[in-house]
Amino acid sequence: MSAAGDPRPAVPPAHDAVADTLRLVSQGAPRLEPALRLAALREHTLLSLSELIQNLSGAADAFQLADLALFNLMGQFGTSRAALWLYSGSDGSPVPIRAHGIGASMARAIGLGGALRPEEWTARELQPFLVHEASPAPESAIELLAHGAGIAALAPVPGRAAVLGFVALGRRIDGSPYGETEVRSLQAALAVVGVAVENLNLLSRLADNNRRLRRANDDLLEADRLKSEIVSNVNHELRTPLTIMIANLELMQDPGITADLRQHMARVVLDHTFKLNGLVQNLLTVSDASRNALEVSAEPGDLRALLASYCAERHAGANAHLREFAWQLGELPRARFDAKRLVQVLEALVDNAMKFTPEGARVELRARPDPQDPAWVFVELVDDGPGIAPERMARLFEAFRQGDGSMTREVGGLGLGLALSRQLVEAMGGRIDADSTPGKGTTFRIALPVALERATETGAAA
Amino acid sequence: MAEPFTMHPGPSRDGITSIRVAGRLDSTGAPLLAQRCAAVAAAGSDLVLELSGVTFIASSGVGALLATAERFRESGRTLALAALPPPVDAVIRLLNLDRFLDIVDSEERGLQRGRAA
Repeated sequence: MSAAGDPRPAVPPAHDAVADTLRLVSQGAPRLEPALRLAALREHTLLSLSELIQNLSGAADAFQLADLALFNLMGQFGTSRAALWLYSGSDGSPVPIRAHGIGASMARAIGLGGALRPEEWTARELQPFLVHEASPAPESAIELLAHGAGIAALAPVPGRAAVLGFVALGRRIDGSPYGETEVRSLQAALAVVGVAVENLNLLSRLADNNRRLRRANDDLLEADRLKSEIVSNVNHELRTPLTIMIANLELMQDPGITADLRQHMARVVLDHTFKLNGLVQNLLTVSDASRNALEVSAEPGDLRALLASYCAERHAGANAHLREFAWQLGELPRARFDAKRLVQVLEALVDNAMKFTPEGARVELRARPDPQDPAWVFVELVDDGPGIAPERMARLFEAFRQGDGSMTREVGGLGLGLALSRQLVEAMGGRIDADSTPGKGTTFRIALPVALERATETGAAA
Repeated sequence: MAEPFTMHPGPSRDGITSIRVAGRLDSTGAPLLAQRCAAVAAAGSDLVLELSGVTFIASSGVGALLATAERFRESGRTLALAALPPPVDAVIRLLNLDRFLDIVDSEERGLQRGRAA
């Protein structure tokens, strides 16, 4: 037998050598037999270790590693039972990886009931636990369990800094004990297993880190793309109202225009000034939020009164883009919020509904206590706009994104409203989410924390 | 020439399955053999492993045979190792495993014994 044609490094022809030795034993003088047999056993041990060293690093996961290690140890020591436990990375409890000849429930019981924690091995200076079959009355729990499972030896799998797990080996079939020589061989073998386990852990961590880095890189690339887009959008968004304002102001200088027209133009300029101001405010708020410099308070207040006043004002300001503004305000407990910021959020949401419903949106504001949890109150804005595609929902509240990239130029805006809304609501200690059915509309739900004391008076009615 | 590890179905008779194993029974073949035998045990069949084609057996191969024998013993089925070639025979004798493993001269004998049992 030769290794020609086999891509792997040549493995010594292990048991041919053993066979040769035994042939000599059977043919030779009987008085030489014990010495030759011992030599063959030593050779068998060395070849077993060599197999472990050569093959264990090829294991793809802990189960493959356990199979290779356990079969090797079983073949080395001549036992039909073996199992491997590795300590969990989270709580350090022993997790059975593989067990041969030891039932799954017994393996779990040994892991949990045996109290074989890493510190136990450290206290024993990593010495194997040998269970003597002849022991008349097993004392410790582990001894009792090992007896029941036919286990004769338990030994730690050492790592560089900590014990990684342990192995159990059954009684040897030829009846011989695990003596000093066997214990040394077992420790050498488990040191190899320890290196392989740590290599696997490192590889797994490396793969996790690579995945995380790839994701971070993708996010950075996306952020870079969005930044380029925003520069171009800001340019467009600032320029449009400015152009309109300049054109109107120039025309207003013409002494020939009527007073009515002049008044109309002044109104147009004022509208666009407000629009520009809002845009700049949003940019500043997002910038504050990104620097964690957002100033938001969350004082107990009369939420119903604030909403009633907002709705009345909003209703009066309904325009071509806001077909109808309706509201339903139930009895509300006092809540914690920042009145100015909450109005900013509501405006952003209404503005959003108007932007995406060119034919005119119907928006309804509903406020009610959370039916599931009295600690929260809901403020919902329900629109009958085009809705949001399911694939867009996950990143809906991210800055500089709109429901559909293609709509960005069509409807204008910087895609800041929802991102801002989330930052503001969360800064108030609340939550915001959205539920949408494409073609039917969208519901934005703001959950605000209820203030501890309840209101004794109700706010202004809508 | 290092023959690769192979397993082929041998004859089946009266609820006894035979598998013919050949090549190197080492860390590559050992888990495959144990897995295949576990499937036979799970199907409730007795098994004869015909090993005459095995050219080399490593410790992991011995371990897989012992784990398989234990599995068959626990499930109340029989496992016979047939036609042991010198490398396998040597290590089984060295470790005194013949008192645990059921060893027969030939595959045919294994199939007959199963029927007699």
